[in-house]
Amino acid sequence: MPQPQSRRRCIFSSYRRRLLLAILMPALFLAACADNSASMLTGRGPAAAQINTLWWIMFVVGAIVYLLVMGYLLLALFRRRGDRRGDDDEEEASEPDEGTGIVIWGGAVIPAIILAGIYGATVFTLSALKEPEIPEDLTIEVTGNQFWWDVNYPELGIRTANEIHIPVGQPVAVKLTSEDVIHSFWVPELHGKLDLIPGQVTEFWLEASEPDTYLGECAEFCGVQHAKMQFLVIAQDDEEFLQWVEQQQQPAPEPTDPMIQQGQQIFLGSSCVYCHTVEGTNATGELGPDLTHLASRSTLAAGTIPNNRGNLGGWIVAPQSIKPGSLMPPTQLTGPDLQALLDYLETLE
Amino acid sequence: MTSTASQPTDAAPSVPEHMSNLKVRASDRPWDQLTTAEKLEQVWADPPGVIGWFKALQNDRIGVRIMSTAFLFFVAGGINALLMRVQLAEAESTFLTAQRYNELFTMHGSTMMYLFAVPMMEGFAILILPLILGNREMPFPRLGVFSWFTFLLGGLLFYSSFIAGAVPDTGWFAYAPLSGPEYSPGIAMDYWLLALGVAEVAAIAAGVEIILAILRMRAPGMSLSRMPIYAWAMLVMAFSILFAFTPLIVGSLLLELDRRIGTQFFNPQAGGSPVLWQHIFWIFGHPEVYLQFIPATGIVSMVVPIFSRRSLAGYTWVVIALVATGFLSFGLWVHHMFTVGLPQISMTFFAAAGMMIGIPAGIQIFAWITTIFTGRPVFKVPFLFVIGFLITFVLGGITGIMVSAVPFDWQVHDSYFVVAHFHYVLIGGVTFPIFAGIYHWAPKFTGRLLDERLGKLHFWLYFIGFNVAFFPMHISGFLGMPRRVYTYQEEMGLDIYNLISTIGAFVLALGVAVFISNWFYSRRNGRPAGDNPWNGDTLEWATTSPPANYGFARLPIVHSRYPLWEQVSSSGEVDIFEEDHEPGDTTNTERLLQAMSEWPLRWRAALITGAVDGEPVEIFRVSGPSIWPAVAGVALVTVFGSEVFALHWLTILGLLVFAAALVGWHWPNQLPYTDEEREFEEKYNIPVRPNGSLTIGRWGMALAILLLGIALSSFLFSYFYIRLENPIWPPENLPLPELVRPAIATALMLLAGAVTWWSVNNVHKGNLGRMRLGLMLVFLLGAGALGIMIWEYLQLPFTWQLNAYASIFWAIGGYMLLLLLVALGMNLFVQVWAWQGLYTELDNAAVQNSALFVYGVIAFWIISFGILYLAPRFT
Amino acid sequence: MTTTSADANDRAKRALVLSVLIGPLGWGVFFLVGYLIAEAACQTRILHNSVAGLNLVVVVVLGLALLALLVTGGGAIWNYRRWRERAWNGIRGDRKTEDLATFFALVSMALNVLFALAIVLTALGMLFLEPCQWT
Repeated sequence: MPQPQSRRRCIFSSYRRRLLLAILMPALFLAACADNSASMLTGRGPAAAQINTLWWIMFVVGAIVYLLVMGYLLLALFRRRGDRRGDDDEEEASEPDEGTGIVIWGGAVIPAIILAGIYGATVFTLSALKEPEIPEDLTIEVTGNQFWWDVNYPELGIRTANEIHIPVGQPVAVKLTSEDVIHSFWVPELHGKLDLIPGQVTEFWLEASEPDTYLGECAEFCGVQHAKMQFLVIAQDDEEFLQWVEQQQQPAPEPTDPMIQQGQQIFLGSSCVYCHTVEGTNATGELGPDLTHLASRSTLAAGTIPNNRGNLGGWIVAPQSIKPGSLMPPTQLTGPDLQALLDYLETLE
Repeated sequence: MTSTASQPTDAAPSVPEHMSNLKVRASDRPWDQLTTAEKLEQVWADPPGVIGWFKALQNDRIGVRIMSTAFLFFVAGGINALLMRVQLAEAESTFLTAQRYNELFTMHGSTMMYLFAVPMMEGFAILILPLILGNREMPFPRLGVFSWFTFLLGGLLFYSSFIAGAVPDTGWFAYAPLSGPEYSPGIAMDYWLLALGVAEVAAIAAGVEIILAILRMRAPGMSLSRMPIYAWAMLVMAFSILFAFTPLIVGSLLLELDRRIGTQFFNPQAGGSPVLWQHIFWIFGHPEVYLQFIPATGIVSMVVPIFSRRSLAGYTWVVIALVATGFLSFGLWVHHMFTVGLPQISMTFFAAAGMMIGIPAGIQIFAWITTIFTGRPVFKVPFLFVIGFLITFVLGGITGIMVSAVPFDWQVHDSYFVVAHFHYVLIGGVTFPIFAGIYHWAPKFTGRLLDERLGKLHFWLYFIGFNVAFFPMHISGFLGMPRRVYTYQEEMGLDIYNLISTIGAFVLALGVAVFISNWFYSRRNGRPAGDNPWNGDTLEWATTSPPANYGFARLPIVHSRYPLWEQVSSSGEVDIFEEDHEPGDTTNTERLLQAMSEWPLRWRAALITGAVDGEPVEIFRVSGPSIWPAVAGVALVTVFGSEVFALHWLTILGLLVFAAALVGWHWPNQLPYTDEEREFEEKYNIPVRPNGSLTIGRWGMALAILLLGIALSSFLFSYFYIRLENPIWPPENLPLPELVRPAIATALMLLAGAVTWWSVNNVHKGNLGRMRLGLMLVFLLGAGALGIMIWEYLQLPFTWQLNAYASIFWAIGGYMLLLLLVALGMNLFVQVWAWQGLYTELDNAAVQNSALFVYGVIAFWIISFGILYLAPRFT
Repeated sequence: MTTTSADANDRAKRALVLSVLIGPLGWGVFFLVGYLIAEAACQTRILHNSVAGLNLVVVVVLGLALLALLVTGGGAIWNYRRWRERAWNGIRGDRKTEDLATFFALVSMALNVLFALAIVLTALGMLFLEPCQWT
């Protein structure tokens, strides 16, 4: 996992929350700050923030209930028991009905009231999340594949992979489906997850409140490399986003440098073209990610390694040692051919 | 299950045949010189020797076998978990490959869910229920033997995938299409489907037995309102097993058909739906969790009062909670599917049910704590485990309510938060009570107490290790760690939590190791327990430790919920043999039980009692040792096992042996109905059934029909679900199904039903000739219907491979014809015996039971073919 | 043992057990039928008109809920009466739920109330949601 932008956050940011958590996890909460975590509790999109509110309500209620029940248990175990000592149990047997009232009130009536309240909060949150505050005017189609994400902006004519750029502060509609098995789309800092199911399209929306790079993960077990099926959501302000759109709408530049031309020939003459597309060339394979703007992306192999020359070369030659079980086959190339190919791929910005 | 009548004890003059070579414990004195107790001991003894080991069927022996097998799988599943924890202890670890890790979590989950928790609870029940209920045996001891063999061999078959190098790797939930033919070629998933499928059959078999034991074999006077909570819990669990495991078996069958013969149930390209698998799986999978937890609460409700030295507070409310939990658990399955994209209106059903489940849980927790509060707790090891249970389970319960809040679930679903939650519920909520139960009841069956100091060490290691291992997982989930990942990147900041978890897991494992050593140490050196080491209130504590083969020579009478505490005679001694009346009187029931302790001594007699009030209904013969249940078990596992390797000839051979074993199992071995029986009946006004109980047979058959009905519902659910996925029905311009042939066949079936009724009516009138004639007519009519429908299916313009509609059309039709075939087979055997003159006006359980089955098949026939042939016309 | 009074006794006992099932089954039928109607309607786009500002699916399911509430509520009241009769007039004190009829009346009553609550919660939730909004 590369570090797109250095940032430091702590899931338990406020003092109040730390205090609450400290009740339950005395030894652990200190260590709960992490670089680059994908904590759902940061709530950096309106949806995640809404869900966070629900969580904190339930946490406070749950913590109080837990503490009260445990208090009752401790009292039950260790309270002083006046003169009822000794082994004369038979004489001292309690009334079978003793305590039934506590069972009914403490076990049924009060829980029913609390649970109805939590249910109300649930329904309220569900209702609040059903659509964003302003309608989306951008649709992104994400298709799951073993083990990478195909990302398509139908209105903008952009196709990319494993990286979703969105304008900050605006909701975008996300339509999900799968080419093969069931996957699940999860950007913990922005929203809950939604499955990608073959033969169906599921739909929700995504919005980031601040510009940043957010980690996305596959959350439904989808095969051997489920663990390394990640993606990035890059929220940019309008200007940057439009710049990115413009750049992505360009077809791949036709190389002029002979070294790079040679690299292009190697690419087009190899098995790469069976699976990959580069707009503006004869490479139109669709089994693997679109490479038209490969060099503009920050990771390779669905978030497995940072995108740099060394990693790219390694990935082409020996993908199975980087991500065993990935569907990308190794490619045999001589040293100079590989260098030329990398030169070419680096121009695909 | 049909007729329990048969049993190979012989009507030989002195010693029953199966024990003629028995090494008599009371020396080799001839039969007539033995005391009554010794005679009973012999009648109820398992046969000796190697063959005898396969025949043995006593409930304590079978219970212990099932429990130890389940415990072995628990250890195996635990080893899988430890390997996984080593891999996750640091970021980017290379201890295991991705593939190996995926195999291990699949094996871990599947082992714990299918091969440990449920069998463990069933083994527990088979072991202790007869004693707790105050009767002598389980109703179908042979079914218990069958259940154990299928469970053991099915589990071993499952683990043999390691040897074959084809370990299942798609998780314990095996989501299609990942588990389907395209994405899981090879035999790994066949192992999962078939080996676990056969273990599920074992679970259902034991479930049927448990239901009947609780409903029909209690001590006289033990009405439902006096039944120990443990029995209530097991009753709810056993019913849940029928309703949960049956859909899973059907689902597994559909998936296996997709994999093997090219049906299209879960293939979206051909009108199938991968989400259908999720529905079927979770209709099983959610209750599965509760049917582990419910018996665990049953154990807790037995341990808490004894160690608090008072009766359980709010007995009735705990029963209410158990029943409510059982029903609600079937309304929760979509909890696991909140992220598949469902309409909001559907969410309300499941979110509301999810909240409601908190109420029965609350009732039980308050009942236990209140019991402790108003009692005087004694801190022995079983009680410590109960306290550990309360501390951990309440936390898991609260996070459970949280995950039924749909939007929050979207976040934590399939994250480590959920892993933490369900381990709190399953380790905290299930294994703590299991250990409590073992420490509590082991002395009854070994005669020795488990060592207290080692037990305390076990508890503290287990409790601390558990919390250290699983509490941090809440946090790693929040930090974005998804489930089922073999590794994670260092930058995610997850290392510290995972390292702590791993350390905790090893402490937990150390606790289990201490338990194992305690077990073997205490078997030799433990303090002798005596009959009632904890001053318990229920009937099992009234027997010797270990109990005699027959449990109770004289069955107890119950007139209190806490018989050993409250049924005290005027002289201050516990008296469980008298009803609640003035001293000096004797009632008919007392005289009956007194007489029954001395007669019959030639066959294994047990008492059937009323389902509601527990009053004596009849005395019947429990079936005795037989090799056939073991053969049937081995044959059934062979059938499933050979299918893994597609060795169809072996499958067929296995099926033949299985069918032969079933016949041998139920082969009638009539005892003569002598004057002794008649005299006893008249004297005590109770029917005596030396050839098996009609009641038990009828209830068993009713449960079997219920099972088949649940299976049919699962097929029909699939039909309508696939219907919804296809806008046009039948799809792809298939013609509407033709009505002529099915109409004729249905008419034949209805006629067969009428004739069946006529024939049973005649047997009641003693007109045996007409009964035989009727049976034969039924056979001919049924065979005619079968032939017509086979012809019909051969004429269909499509095979099962065309699309999902075609697949389900063939599947339901095939299921119906299979049922009809079974009915015909049953009819055939009954007929053979009928023509041999086996049945009489009074003794004809098999005739009546097979008639019941025929009615069931006809009802199913009308529903399923009605839907298959008529439903497409109405859309 | 097959006198008519014994038969009547049997019937009474069977009625006791069946009365327990009113609540769970009332809820269960509502739950299954309601859920299947909702799912089917949302998949096939039938029942999509709105009545009084409510989607027709919701109206149908609410109607079903009302029916189920009548059953469970009625069951609760009926069993409450049976329970009160037994508990106050018959056996007194801590032994009262050991009596079968009292026991079953209480169990049935509580289950009816519990499942009525489940139906109410489900129905209330529907009023605030967009029924066929996916996710």
